[in-house]
Amino acid sequence: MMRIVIKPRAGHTMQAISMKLRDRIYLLIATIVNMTASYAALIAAPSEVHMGDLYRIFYVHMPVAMICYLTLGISLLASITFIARRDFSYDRLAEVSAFLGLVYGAVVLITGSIWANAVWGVYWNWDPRETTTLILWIAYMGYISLRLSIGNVEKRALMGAVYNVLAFSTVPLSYMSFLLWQSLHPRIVTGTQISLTPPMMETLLLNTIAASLIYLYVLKLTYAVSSLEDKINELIYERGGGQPRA
Amino acid sequence: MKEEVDSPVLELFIVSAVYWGGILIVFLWLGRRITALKRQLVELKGEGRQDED
Repeated sequence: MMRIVIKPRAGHTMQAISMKLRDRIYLLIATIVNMTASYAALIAAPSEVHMGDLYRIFYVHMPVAMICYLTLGISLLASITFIARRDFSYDRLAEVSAFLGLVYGAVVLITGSIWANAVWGVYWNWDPRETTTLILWIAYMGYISLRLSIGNVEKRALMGAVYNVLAFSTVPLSYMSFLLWQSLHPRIVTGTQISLTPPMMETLLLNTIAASLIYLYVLKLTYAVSSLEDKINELIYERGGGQPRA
Repeated sequence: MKEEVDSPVLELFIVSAVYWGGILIVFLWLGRRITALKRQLVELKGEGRQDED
């Protein structure tokens, strides 16, 4: 088989090296912040009065839940922007953000179930927060399934964007579920009061920053994968290889 | 609510493993996918140049 070698231009090579270096510095900072955050969460932070050390699960569960809501919010904004401007890069951002919302949502559901089993004695008891988060997750599974089921690029992007706007209603439903129904789920913020001591709050903040750093890098990688898939599909389409997938 | 939780070490370990394991799987999958797609793109561009020649 013949090997095809394309020589990159000097400017492109320098740019690629600079980007790789920037990525490595970012990852190094993210690793240091995450190690510090894990140390704070598992060892340094004080135990909670009722749950003891089990409360440390909170420092993983809560930041992941916040990132899940954040990424679905980004997906919503991207879909609205796509509807307004018809720019497909926003559609791509909406799709990858929703996909990451599913990944983070799954982690929230699993870690929440483990916590529930340790505290309540059952993995799942149809608590409003659990149930509404599961509804949210299923709604976004529907979004990804819908996109996979439509072949036409424009139709997929537009129908996906409209569905995404509707699916986002499950996010405030999940967040405010304990205001609407009686729930066993712990409440951190009640009115203007926060039921965390300053060291707990600092640990939570540090863990949220650490998880956000990882999330931003994963978002960048997922977006890069989606962009490359688009480029390849366009090239195949231009050469008469059929309709592009994305 | 359960009266007391003896040792939450196992729960903490599982929760950490779920989070970090999930992140690791996503990282590995994305890394491999990017490499494969970049290779495919280079090959497609190469084929295109050969066709032009």
